[in-house]
Amino acid sequence: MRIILLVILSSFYFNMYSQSEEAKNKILLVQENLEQVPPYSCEIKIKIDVSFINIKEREGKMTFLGPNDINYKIKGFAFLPKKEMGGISSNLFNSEFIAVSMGSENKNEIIKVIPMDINADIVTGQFWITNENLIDKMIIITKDKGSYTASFTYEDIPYNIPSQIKMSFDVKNQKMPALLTGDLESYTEEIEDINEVSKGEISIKYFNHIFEK
Amino acid sequence: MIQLTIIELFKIIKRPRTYIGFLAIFLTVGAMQLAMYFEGEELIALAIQNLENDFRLEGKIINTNLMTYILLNSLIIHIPILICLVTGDSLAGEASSGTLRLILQRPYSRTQIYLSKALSGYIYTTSLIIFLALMTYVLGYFLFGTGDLIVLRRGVTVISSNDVVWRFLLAFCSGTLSMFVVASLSMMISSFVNNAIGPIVGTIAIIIGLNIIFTLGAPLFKDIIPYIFTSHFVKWQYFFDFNIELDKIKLSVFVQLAYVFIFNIIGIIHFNRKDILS
Repeated sequence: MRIILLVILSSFYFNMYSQSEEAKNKILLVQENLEQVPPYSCEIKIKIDVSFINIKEREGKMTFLGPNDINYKIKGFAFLPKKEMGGISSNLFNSEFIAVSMGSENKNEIIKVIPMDINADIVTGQFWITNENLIDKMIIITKDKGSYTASFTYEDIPYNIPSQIKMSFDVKNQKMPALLTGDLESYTEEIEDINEVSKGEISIKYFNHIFEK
Repeated sequence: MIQLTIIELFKIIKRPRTYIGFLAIFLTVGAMQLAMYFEGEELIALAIQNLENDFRLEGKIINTNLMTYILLNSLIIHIPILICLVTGDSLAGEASSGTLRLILQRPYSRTQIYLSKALSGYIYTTSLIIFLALMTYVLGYFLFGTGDLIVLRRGVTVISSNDVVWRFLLAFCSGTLSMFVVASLSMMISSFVNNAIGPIVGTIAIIIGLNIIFTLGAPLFKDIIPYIFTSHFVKWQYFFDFNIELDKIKLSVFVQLAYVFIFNIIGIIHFNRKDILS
């Protein structure tokens, strides 16, 4: 009886271990794909959807030198995401982490990634990985900045670079002092809950890529 | 009537106090723009620090459009003071110096004389606003250059640099109308007294008083605020909304025109009945 129990438990353990290793390997393949991308520049269109921000679509140019080295040249003023999604995932994959397979959804494998560093800013990340080892969607939960969700659209761009990224994230309602803004009429309005957190979305389209040789 | 207005304008030009307004605007705008040139980044960082927690901001925030927008806020208190210096003096000044009786001996009706003084006061007001607009925009352009305008009103609105000119033109028109109300009020008070200080101090006291009462007591007077003329001094800001509320702007124009009309009618009636004893 004992032997049977031991066999069942050890097979369960090995199954879990092999599943975790498989998930980690998949993530490492994704990372490999990300690292193969050479420096490039492309044109971008940025659309922002945040309840308290009114701005029309902005156009500009992006220069990619590495996941954490991206420069923007925007015509006029623009709001960009605080964190680069490529940079976040790259930082997460480059540190020690545990990967756990969470099953699949729409032919994508769901993998949860937990960094080993207790002091890391990212608490956990969940990735929807396609059969081609590309990130279809990801959710990142951070210690201080709330959560980020990003979904990626791919077209026929070399190195499997996404043609569009939609990011949604937590934003705190902004209320500036009337004496600073000159909006004296705001005194008559009901005070909004300034600590209320709502969802904001930034959508960036990438096109006309030029790769460095 | 045109001849009378030209004569009144000539009197305004001849008075040294006329230039106090232009000098004050020149110094205020110059000092403000220089302060923003050296300390502006810190001030703006303070205003947008919450935004910077959530977003990466790309682009130049301080530019001539933002400076013009900030300085347009001086329409609430500062510019009315400068307008009263001239318009408040137009009738009462002549009464105290004894020249009013002399003017009334001419073959013009009192209404014509009052209206020509009011008209020349409006021309002075318009020239002051145009000077403010040119000073803020031109000096700002040389110091900061142009760029998108960021308005921190009801959230954050970003207006493209090629979309701001018509908004500023209409905002300055709206501001000018508000200042016509001030000029009309001080003219009206000027018709009641024989001392030039009275209309100037009286008008300023009314404006400051109404501003304080209806700003601090805003929730209490919520329903009557739209009909108080001082509440329309900031209505030019409506032209910088993402979706412009035309109904509110129309109401504002109507209310202010009504005030101009009422103040002038009261002033004319009183001036026509007044005994000129000095």
